[in-house]
Amino acid sequence: MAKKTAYFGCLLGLAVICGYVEFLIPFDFGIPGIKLGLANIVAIYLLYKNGFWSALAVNTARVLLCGILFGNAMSIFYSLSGATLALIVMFFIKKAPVFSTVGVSVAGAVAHNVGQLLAATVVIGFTALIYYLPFLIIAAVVTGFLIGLAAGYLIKRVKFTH
Amino acid sequence: MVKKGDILLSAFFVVIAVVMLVCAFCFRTSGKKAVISVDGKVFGEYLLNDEQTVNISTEKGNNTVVIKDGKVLVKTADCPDGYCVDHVAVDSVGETIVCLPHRVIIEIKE
Repeated sequence: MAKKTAYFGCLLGLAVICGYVEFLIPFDFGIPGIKLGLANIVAIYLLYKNGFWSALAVNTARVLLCGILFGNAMSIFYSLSGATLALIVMFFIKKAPVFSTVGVSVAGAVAHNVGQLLAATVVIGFTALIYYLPFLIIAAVVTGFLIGLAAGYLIKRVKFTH
Repeated sequence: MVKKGDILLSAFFVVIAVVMLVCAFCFRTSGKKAVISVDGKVFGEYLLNDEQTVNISTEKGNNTVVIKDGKVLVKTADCPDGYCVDHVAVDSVGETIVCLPHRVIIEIKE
């Protein structure tokens, strides 16, 4: 039990640091909602190594912690919707053997952005935000691809000695 | 380690995004008026022909909207992200400028 706590705690800490780095170095192209999604490396790692529920737990904790530390209530709402939808999508995409972590990550990234946009439409309304969607999708494909590659290498090479 | 499925999936999304952009670009029509709403309620309607400056002051903050040469843009705003000010001027039906922190939507209608 103690080992589990240490293991998940370690990965949660890593995810929070990823969030912090993104907070410090805004990845801005003038389009709201664009992020590198570094913390998803941890999410994908957990999804592959420990399954959906572990990934969901750490993800949720990460969103809450990052929101409390350097975000606000609205950002928690947007982040949580995006991240949870992304995780669900990634869980199903992962089942298909034609996809590696890269495909899983791209699908997750697109789902994440769509999820955040959906959350924003709850606040603001649909027609106003639809123009952002194509840009968010393209950005998601690019970042998702890179994050997926990184996560893939991590899964292959990093072993926690239990 | 990149598989064919990954490439196809990525291409699929990019194609969808490009199609959306092309459609939005090709089917745009010039708008006649800008409707500004704050917090979901209509704040005012402004004809694009009339050069004017609209000040929106709410408890959340201020935005200054300028209508000139048939286009609408946000001149200044004190929101934390400033996306509305960075946004290019809009003039086609359906185009919008959104200030999310201030809950301000500027939408072009015919």
